[in-house]
Amino acid sequence: MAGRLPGCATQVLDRARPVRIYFQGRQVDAFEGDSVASALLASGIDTFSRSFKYHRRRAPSCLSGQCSRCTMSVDGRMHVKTCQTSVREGMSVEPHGSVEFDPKSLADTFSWALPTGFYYKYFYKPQWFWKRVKEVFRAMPGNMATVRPLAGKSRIDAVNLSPEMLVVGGGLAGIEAAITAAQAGVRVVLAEADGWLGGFDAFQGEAGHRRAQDSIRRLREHGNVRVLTSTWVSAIYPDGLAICVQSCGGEGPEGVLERVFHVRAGTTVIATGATSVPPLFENNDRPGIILPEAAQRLVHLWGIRPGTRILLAGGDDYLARVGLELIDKGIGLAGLADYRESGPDEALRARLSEHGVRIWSGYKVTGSHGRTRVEGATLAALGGSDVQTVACDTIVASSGRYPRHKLLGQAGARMAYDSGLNFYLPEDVPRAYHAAGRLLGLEDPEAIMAQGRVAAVRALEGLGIDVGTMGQEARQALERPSPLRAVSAQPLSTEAGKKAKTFVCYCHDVTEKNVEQAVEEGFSDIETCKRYTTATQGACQGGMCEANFTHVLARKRPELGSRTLPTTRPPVASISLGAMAAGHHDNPQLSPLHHVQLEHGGRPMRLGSWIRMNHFGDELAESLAVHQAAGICDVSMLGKFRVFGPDAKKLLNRVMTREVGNLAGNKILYSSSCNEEGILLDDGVVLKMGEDDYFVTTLAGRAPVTEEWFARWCREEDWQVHVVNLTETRAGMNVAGPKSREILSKLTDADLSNEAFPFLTWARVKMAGVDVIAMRMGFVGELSYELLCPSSQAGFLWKRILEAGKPLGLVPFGIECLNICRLEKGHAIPGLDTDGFTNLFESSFGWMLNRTKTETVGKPMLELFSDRPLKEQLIAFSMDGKSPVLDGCLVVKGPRQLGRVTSIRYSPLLDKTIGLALVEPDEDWREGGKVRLWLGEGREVEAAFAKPPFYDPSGGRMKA
Amino acid sequence: MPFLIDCPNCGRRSPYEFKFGGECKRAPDPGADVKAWCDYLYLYENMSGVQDEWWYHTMGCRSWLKIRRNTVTHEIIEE
Repeated sequence: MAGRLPGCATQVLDRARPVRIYFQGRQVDAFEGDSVASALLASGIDTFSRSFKYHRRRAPSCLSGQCSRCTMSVDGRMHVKTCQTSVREGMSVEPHGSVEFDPKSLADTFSWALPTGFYYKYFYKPQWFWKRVKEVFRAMPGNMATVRPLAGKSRIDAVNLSPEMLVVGGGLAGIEAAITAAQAGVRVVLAEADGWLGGFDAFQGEAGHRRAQDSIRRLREHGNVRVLTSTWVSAIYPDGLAICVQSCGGEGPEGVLERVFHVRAGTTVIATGATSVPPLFENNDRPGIILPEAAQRLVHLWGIRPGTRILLAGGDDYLARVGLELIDKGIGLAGLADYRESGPDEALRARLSEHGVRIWSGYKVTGSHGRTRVEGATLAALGGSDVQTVACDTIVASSGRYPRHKLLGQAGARMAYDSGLNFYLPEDVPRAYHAAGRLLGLEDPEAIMAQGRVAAVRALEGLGIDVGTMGQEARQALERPSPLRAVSAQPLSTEAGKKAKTFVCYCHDVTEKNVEQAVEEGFSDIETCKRYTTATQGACQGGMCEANFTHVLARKRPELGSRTLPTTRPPVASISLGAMAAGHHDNPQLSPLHHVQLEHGGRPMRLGSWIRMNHFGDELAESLAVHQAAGICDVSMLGKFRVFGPDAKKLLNRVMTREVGNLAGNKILYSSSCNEEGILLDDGVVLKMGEDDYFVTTLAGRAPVTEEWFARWCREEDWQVHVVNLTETRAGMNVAGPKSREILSKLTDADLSNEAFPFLTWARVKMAGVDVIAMRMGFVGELSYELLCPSSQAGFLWKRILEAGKPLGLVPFGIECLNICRLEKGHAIPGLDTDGFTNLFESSFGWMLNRTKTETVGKPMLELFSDRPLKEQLIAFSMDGKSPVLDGCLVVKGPRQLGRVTSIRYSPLLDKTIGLALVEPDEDWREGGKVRLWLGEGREVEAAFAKPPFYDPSGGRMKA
Repeated sequence: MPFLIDCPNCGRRSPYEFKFGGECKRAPDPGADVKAWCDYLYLYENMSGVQDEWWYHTMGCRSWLKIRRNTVTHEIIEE
């Protein structure tokens, strides 16, 4: 296939700009404008991949991104369609596995041992055998890449667009539709899979090229059309979201590989065109057998000779026209086999004969032969017994045309088979969608353009946009008599021998025999047959095989009547995982104390939406310091809200389980909140700052949810209440330990003594000159002050406290130490020690339910639960010394699983491992009971049930 | 038509910015029986057609919006 044709206007190459790429390390010369596949084909490379099951040689057959035969690894990215990837200097291209010599191709010889559904038939007994060899089988499929992490992070962008109109397909119909809409003044997005516009006409020789260029020129006159080339619309979802994936080939300084457009258009014109159906004959998968469009693309776009002796085979005049184009370019033909007795159209026949092209009318190809690529074909007379052998190095063949209907199907349209045209036509197209162009079986360019305009006019009218006289003009143009639809050829029966391989599905190596066998086994419905044979389920998603698959099925089961197509689902073609994930930008929150903590040796970690300090080098030493001297911990991620207004109390009494109305003076109210099912959501404190003016804290990281929750409970009321989220504006630090009072007293004139400032009260104090709200709380079990101050001054205050505390042994501590200390006290954290099924009573917070208040959210359900046995409960346990048990470990009793460990830590103070577990009620949950923890592989450890707190049961230390 | 939610504060936005807040319905009285509460909490109309529903603009102005939507076509009916 080697060699280029002379340059001409239709080509997309820039011959002045050579590009070098590397195939398996070998240099391949190409030009700017080449695709990777065209560059490889031009340099004479025949085998691109090995097939899935039989490891047969495969080469591109469509060159339009539909089949999966040209996929390779490009610059480390796997399963890249090389025909849709532009060459770039220095690009490295590797096939998946060894394609020239592949020992697994033995599978081709033993194909009789691999019938349809062989994995259901063989792979279950004897069990011991399959357990051992399953990994061997998993490594068998061909054209599979080995997963290697990419050297650099792949950059995939996401963009949201909401134009009035989306046009899918940049052929004549699509361009006309876009122009029409642009003239009406609406914003249009036009997506085209190829790297250029023009669609089918881009590769229809010079006449087609001129038509396409004229259309493109008129399109460019409009500024309100955004043209996206190299963009596959891979899905249309029921809510009108279209996913368009543009390959960018590492453009720009950031090296963007793909850009995903999430398009929500007011209306959509689908002009995806039609494609040739691969031929059905024995060994129809050999390299060198290509579709007529592929031959045209090679010749007209990239100036590549598909071969030197080409056999054309099919049943419509399109092939004869392609033959004349090839002759025009000086390419030798082996002949034309047309299965119709009447052969090609009289005029075309005469012109072919002029050039001495042999025409076999009423003949079909029954098989191909050759070693690494096609070397010849067998022809047979359709009605008679005459068989002939033709030598050729390329077969350009098709079984007719097939609409690229997948997006239309996803939008909700149905495709109905028209036996007169041998073509599927859309029915029941939903209101906001309009089909246009060759997708509807149109052939005549004038008709295609007129129909594109009509589709756009209908779409605009559907949006309620006045199109003026455009509508009438467009409709009149369409009414002009023209040969609207050409009759397509259809797939032929092959009547091949038992061992013959006539491929229906190329992605998964499903042959005609496989489909017939599946039908004989009872999988005769298209949906079950498809699943059983896996035809149409490969990387091409049916793009190449659906027509032949439905044809073979319909022939085998004529009694089923009309041909139906399998359901189409997103994506239309394979899509990268990165494209699916694009648009999710991780944006963790940093505490105002983040940087100052890093200075002091903090080890950051991600926890929910925040980055917090896990520890400062040694969490065990930190916990001992908290008990013996003092520690300081950043708690800025607590949710902090001001709730004020005449109806503030009503809102708080609704969302809090405890009564807020009794709150007076500088008392702190510790409360929890539940959802309507009585499930525990949150805990926090309420301070009364003034009349109808409250300050509320919530769990760390929960502020956004709390904000939503507060708003949710007054959304239907006409209350006068304001909720202000102060979370980011106030930093929080917890100074805890027996020496904390002494340390903080150095920084303030306020009286911090227990008499003036007792446990569970708050005060406004000036500390190191900073306005602080100080709260006496007991989360870590020692005397402690929670200080809230303006975020801007937090770093300063932190440093001053550390300075003042250093001589007394104050250390900064992180969440690991916080966890150790709170477990010593047996304090549970909602959402960590409880889950989405744990109600207030089951979570040990039951005491916080005010029984007289009726408006509490969740109260009615909790009332119903209150006299019922608990379904689960939170228990505490301990073990001597350190233990290997981790959070999440199962709690078991014999063969039963009772629950799981929710938090477990080693306490150096107690020299015990202590933890909480969420478990089913059991008689062992009593003094002296045992808690059995499962470590996996039959190993268990025993812990002793315990009643918390493990430390300072009277609470004397925190109330000191 | 594409499914976009017209937020009074932020304009027409993708539904992916919002959190679905469920069908609009009234809670039973606090003292209602188990059945009434279970019906309210666990049984949805699951309407195939037009219904009133709540959406919360999580990635926007953080307001609760009540919209009337056709659950089949995603058409939003202006009142």
